[in-house]
Amino acid sequence: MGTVKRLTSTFLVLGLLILGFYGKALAEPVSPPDEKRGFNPALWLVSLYRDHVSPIDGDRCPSLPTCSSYSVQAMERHGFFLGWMMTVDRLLHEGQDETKVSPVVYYEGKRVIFDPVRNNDFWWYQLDATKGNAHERLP
Amino acid sequence: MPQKAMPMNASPSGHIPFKSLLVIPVTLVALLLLPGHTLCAQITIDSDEQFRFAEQTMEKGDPLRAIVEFERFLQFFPEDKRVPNARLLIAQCYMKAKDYESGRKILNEVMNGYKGTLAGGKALFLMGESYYEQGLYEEAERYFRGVVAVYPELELKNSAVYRIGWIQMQTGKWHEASETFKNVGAGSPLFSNAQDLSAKSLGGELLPYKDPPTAGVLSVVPGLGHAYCERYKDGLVAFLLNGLFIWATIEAFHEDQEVLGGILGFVELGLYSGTFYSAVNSAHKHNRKLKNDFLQGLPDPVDLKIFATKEGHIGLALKFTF
Repeated sequence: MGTVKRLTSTFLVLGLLILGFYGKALAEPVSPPDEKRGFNPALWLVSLYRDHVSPIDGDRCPSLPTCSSYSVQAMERHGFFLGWMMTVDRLLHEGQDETKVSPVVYYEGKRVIFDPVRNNDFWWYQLDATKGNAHERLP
Repeated sequence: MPQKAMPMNASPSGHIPFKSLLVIPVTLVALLLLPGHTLCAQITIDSDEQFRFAEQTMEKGDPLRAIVEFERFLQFFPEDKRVPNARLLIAQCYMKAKDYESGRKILNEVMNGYKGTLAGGKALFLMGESYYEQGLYEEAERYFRGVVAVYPELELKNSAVYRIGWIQMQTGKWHEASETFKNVGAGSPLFSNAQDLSAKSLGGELLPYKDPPTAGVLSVVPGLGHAYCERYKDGLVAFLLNGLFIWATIEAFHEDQEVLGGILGFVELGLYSGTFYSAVNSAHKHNRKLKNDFLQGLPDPVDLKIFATKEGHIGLALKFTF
């Protein structure tokens, strides 16, 4: 029982801290880079990865856009929580299973799976034609 | 002493005589007096040629250049009967170039400027087409229903009904689609195709779809939802990753590493919720693939195309491919 209590209290404290510090930034979709609205910890982590890990680790992502770009785009469109879930989804499904349901294209001489954010939110997110974001269409 | 050679028409002092200089202006005057066509080609483009050229450019698959040519037509022949048609064709060119917003801007102008006329009807129909091409079916259906309501006497109405049927298939309303296709008029060139689709569309209900909520519920055990969607490798990865993080979190708390346990647990929460999302998403993608494959197998050989006659009438061309 002691372990369960400790687990619950730790998660509660962590959750409250994160919501307290970053509540606004987490709940709202991230604004474009030129509009500074708030600090998003996840985007900061992604930029850390892109600036310091990816150049050494190399380009190994089999999808287009790359997973880090996808993550940024997902958070820009849907905010932190959904962006995070969609990033996890992307990391899980970037294997060969995905080629059965998503188009495979050639990009810069490489065979990649075309898997933009639209490919993964089409069933619940309605694009707004009046805002000019309805240009993405998938087969 | 050697003598220097002198040109025949030069004066002994070495200057060219005035008479010789006169040759230059005389030649220039003579050239100016010549008829214009001997120096340069002059062309006269009439409205027919300009319109035809713009249409040909469009047919060649160069919509952006065709827009320029149609605009040239509008600039030089603003009183021509084909002006509304040219504007509709410009809108179509924008749609071909995937610049739907620019296309719709022109269509809106035509709709407002030619209300109640055939050109207005075509503009309304093309508005629907632009949304249909973008996959924005709700908007598209609104415009096609507008065509049916406002222009019931035209062949355009049958095309709109036909498109509504396709929208209903795209959105999984198979029974409604079947009924809609029956409403295409018997005199329409689309009639036989629509009858065929009316019967075949019902097959869309019988496809082996995956149930997204079931995939989500099964994901209580990470990976099981993926396995349900026939994505076994993804399921295995989800199971292992979640299992490792849960195990690491519990171990960290057992070892009194509460901060580490908290961080690992927080990451695992995101991973776990992402696994749910992934399973549900997989089911939707599976269903989309099934539906698209089914729709691609259906007969839709119709390429709706607007054309204009020399007299300024607008026609609707139906191109059938076999």
